[in-house]
Amino acid sequence: MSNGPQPDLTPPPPAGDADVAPLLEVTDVSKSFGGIAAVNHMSFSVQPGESVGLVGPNGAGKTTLFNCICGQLRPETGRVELAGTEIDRLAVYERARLGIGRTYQRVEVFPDMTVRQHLLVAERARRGDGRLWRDLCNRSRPAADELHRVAEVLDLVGIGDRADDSVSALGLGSCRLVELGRALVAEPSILLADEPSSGLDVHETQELAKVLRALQHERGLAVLLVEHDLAMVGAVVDRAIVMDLGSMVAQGTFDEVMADPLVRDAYLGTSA
Amino acid sequence: MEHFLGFAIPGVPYGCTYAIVAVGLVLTYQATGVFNFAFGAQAYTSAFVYTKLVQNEHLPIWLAFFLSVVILAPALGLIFDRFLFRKIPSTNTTAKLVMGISLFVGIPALLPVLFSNQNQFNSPSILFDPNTVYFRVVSQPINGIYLSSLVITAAVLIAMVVLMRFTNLGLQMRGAVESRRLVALDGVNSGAVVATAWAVSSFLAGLAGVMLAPIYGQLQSQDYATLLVAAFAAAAWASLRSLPIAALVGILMGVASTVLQGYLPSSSTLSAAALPSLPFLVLVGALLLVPGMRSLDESKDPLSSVDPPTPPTTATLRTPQLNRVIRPAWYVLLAAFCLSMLTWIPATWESVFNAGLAYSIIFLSITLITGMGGQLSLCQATLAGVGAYTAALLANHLGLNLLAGAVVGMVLAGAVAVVLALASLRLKGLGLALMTIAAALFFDTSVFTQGSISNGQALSVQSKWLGLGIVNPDGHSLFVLEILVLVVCAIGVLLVRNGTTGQYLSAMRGSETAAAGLGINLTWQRVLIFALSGMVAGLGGTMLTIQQQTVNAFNFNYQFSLAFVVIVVTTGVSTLEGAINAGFAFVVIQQVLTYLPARLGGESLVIVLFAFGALQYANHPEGILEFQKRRWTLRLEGMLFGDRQATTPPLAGSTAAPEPGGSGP
Repeated sequence: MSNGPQPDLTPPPPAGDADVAPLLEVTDVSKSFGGIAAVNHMSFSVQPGESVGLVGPNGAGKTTLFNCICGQLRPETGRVELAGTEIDRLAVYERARLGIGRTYQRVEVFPDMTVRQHLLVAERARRGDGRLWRDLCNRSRPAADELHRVAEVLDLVGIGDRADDSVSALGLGSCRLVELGRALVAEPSILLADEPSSGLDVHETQELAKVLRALQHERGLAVLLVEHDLAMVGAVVDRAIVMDLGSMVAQGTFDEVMADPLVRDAYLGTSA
Repeated sequence: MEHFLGFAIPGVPYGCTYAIVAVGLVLTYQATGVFNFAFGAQAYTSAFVYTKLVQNEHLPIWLAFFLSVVILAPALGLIFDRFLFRKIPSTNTTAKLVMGISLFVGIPALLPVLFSNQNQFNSPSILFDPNTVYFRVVSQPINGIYLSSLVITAAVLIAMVVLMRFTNLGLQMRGAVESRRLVALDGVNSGAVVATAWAVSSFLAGLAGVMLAPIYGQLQSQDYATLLVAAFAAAAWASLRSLPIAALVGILMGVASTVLQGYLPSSSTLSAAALPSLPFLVLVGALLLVPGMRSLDESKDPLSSVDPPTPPTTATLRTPQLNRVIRPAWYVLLAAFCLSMLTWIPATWESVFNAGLAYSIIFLSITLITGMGGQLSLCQATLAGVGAYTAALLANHLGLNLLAGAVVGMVLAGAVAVVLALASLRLKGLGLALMTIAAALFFDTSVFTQGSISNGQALSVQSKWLGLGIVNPDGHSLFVLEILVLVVCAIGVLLVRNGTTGQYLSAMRGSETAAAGLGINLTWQRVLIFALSGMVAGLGGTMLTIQQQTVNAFNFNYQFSLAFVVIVVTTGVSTLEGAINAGFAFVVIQQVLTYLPARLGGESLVIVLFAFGALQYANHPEGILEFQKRRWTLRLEGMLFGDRQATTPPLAGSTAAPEPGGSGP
């Protein structure tokens, strides 16, 4: 996938150091739709540079929780803090500017744009350079350093060779990589990846897992990963949180939670 | 109480008609996903044919009713479905609205052409004799019109509620509205289901039209447009979901209008302002207060990914070799046009082209708001009117130079657009379209016609206020002024489109969720594009005023707003040259049509031509003219340089980005 240097695949240092202030802290967050509790008093935290898996069966409330963190949904109770700052009252774009990057369960790309343009837009949004007077003075053309950064990220996620293709011409798997690149170019402090391997084949999934690992190690990027491919979750995360029916049923290392009878019950409907 | 009922009861027939149309709108939306702007035109068509068959052909009432309502109305609905709306992807709200608006403006203009331009009067009542008083309610006589309205409304409401809630067909309709392709995968003939929905809703339109005709006396399409606005308001309060609420609000609006009429002093300003404003005040109230109106366009067809992407514009598709030919050709054409305008073109055509330049500026505002911003605004003529009236009033009252007035008008039009954008922040797609049309109607009835502004009269503007030594506004100097303003506006639009703002807007059009997730402030971008669009429209309106030496509220009414959208969509809403082509085509075709015999419809034929051009939007969302250009460009490339394989558009923001002006002149 990546044409650049191979990422370091050694296990990450143990996360969850009590002395380090959490990067993301979710406290008692609840959200219901028409009386059905999609997220029910969820509390957890993610340390800087930590990779946390959020797993659970369909309908567990994982994406709803993501939406509460990103600001697409307003939780009914609870609090979300990023690097010690309460972000509950902030709009989606303000949270993004504070360092929350996101990919989506249902692919969200801009059909009129090429792959490169996706990343250029994200780069501009990160810099906060979208000023009308610059446009009217014809000073909005991409600078060399912007193009260089974009090219770097395109290579990192492995779609550098398709940079000038329209996303309308790409398959689902490639669109997911575009989403990932778009999120990464904004240099987030935490990446919320919602089923990033959906639509990718086994090889691409393994490569994606390597990229996420490398980002965590080399750039200190924290990752909150929603994923149904448990092999990928096991390869990427330091810690896993299992949700079912809106509530947390277990948390711990990946192996610990997978051995938990409650988790087996949530996934298989039996604690056998 | 008796006094109150004396005012309220006369409003019941009107209210019943609003109710039927509102029920029809809700039914169409629930069953097809289309908010049918053409409903009023369909109602007018049935009423027109019905009256003509009875009055001119002397057919019995039942036969005329059968032909116009039972046969013609559903047939129209089936034609709309089969040839137009079926081709539109269910998620493309803009295309559905544009189709409806095209029919809304096209059909009333077409009917006089088809059936000779004679007025229709005294349409007969379909059920009970209008001259017979059947009984009295608190001393109020209840004649055939009242009785017919009540009986038909009750019957329609019951039938539609039963259809939607208790029949298998109703269930299938509700499924098909989300995704007819998905329903088809379950073995349902979704095409037949949606066609039935169109037939039933069109029958309701025909019924409402024929029911309303005896109430109005003289049959005018304008009355049916007003009826539609009242029905919009009733349907909006029902969140386009509840048939009983739509019917109830419709009836209440009819009653409220006659009660207000009764209680307010007939000559007061309040009466003059409040009565015509009632439907759109109710509509705005619904848009601001009913939560369901904010989430109208949020449903997504799970199979929408099978829809082909919108084709790239011709300018981005052209090979560099062809660009080297095309671009100089444009400059030569532009130079030839300028030279001709300044030398040999006759005064009549010079005036036509000058008007075309002014309209091009106004249409550029639609390129900004719809083509770039992805928002459908139905009040661009109104914003042009704000600019025009501001400049004219400042010139008339303060003797201010018209060019200085144009700047003030431009700023004021931008401010109005900002207020509108802020008022409709939570709305998109259909909700925004309704909000903007409500604003247009508000300005039509309560601002432009106010005594302090125009008192309903045209304001004349004298050339002496133009300054810069320009003394003959029909002459060459006006051409120089207008082309300079157009070039400045065009370059500005190009720079915005190719700049970061254009990229942000493109991102917003693609996915608001993802755009916000990147840190793009959607609210600011939306307000910004509204403001820019309003300013350009205001400037264009002033240029039109300078060219015509008069400001007339009629030239900036909501029907022109709708027609403007239709015209620009026909030529290509996403390109700069689409707006300029539209401006010139609008005035040139109008001028050419003056040479045709009046019986062919005269200038109204121009609306028909554009309306039916815009109907091609379903097949060619890039615009029929843009489609043809792309086709011929590819052919030309094939002939000159041989076939090519890559059709990927180059980057607009990267090293391979096209130069400003890449989209044409």
